[in-house]
Amino acid sequence: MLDSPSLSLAVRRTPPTVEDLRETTVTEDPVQRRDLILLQRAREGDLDGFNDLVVVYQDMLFALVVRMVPDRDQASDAVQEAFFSAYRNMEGFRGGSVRSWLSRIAINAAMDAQRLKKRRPADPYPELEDDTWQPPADPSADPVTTSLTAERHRVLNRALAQITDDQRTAIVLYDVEGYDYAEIAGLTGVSVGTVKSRIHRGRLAMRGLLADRMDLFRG
Amino acid sequence: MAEQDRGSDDPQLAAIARHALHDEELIAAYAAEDIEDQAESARARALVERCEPCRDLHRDLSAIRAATRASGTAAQRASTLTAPRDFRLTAEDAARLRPGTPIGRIAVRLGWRARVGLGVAAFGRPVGAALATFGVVGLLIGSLTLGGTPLASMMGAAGASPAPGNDQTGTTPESTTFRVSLDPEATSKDEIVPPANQGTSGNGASGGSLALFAGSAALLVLGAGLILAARRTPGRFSPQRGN
Repeated sequence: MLDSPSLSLAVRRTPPTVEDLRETTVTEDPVQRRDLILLQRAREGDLDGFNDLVVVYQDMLFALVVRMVPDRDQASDAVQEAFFSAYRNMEGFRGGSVRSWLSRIAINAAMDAQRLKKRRPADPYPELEDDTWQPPADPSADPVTTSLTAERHRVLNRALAQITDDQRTAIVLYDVEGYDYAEIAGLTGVSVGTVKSRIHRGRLAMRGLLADRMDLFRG
Repeated sequence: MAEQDRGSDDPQLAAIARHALHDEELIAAYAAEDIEDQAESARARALVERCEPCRDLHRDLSAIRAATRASGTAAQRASTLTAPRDFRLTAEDAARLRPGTPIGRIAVRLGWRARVGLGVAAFGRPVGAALATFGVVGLLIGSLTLGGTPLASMMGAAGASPAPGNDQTGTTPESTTFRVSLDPEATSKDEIVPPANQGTSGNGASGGSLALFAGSAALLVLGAGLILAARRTPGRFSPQRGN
């Protein structure tokens, strides 16, 4: 669907001057241009345009949400809800990066899922079976190093899943996804000081959880 | 021998006891390079330099931070992590999510909805708060007056019931004089009219109170709705690093 000739032609073309997207500067980034075209098509009622966006971003949004909600089923529900919300609120897109817009909606959906989980604290998160991604290893790295990296990644994920939702959200958004404090404060509806505190306490809690495995992290 | 063991443990125990008084969150902030205040930063540095457990903590937190940062952004992980389902919307989903009337579709084409959305995002909170405040005030006034217009009923009750200590069989010269002075030709039939008039005005006041009550409730709901709509309107956020 995404490698259709019409779409690749559309990506190469100059984006149409559409009133709703006037705020969006004409970008040279082909990905952003493609996203804007797909979004505009969706706004005009073309469901396939929106579904093309879904196909492009569903894996990324799932990867983002599953770090915040370490339960694959709940994370899936949150991502589905995020796409529903995005479709419902397409008119609310005010320019900028479509990917950031979708990420923000997904983060909100993940926080909604966390709130729902808080109401049922009896069910802990199952252990996340998410060891498919490994940090890129040096091709010349020996098997021991590669194996250590994988193990470090696994125990880190497990510790991350065990800290509080608020702390995990702050750490994932800051350390992993690269949002700054003010953005996280805006997304989570708390002050910058609270965000910092959550990150620091979250790392302290992770250190407690990793106490007997810290040798993996000490170089 | 036992003395010697205790002697070798004492410095460690003392260090642990001292460390228990140290602010671990300060060390965490220092490890994250998040301390803006010079004095606090100097205090944290001194703790890390002089206290071994603080030094270990600082080293561990820095290592955890580095490992977390290297654990892959969502975009990186998406290259190998596949979503467990297909999230594409069906035509039924689309129809359910955006039912759209013909007028709504025209509005979409003309960009009205987007403009309304922008307006809500910009002014929703202050306008919503103002409307909600008016609503609350109106509700308070309405609830005070709705229960049978207390002021009017109090006055009516004062006129109808005798004042304490008054003889019921006695005349009420003031009120008689007043009535006579107002309407010298009043008949006994006229005397029936005032209570009826009173009732009518009470009903009118009660109706007014009800309208005030309903209007205030509507304002409150509208204000709360505006605030919520402004909160839910997506804004612009873009990751700075990693993406």
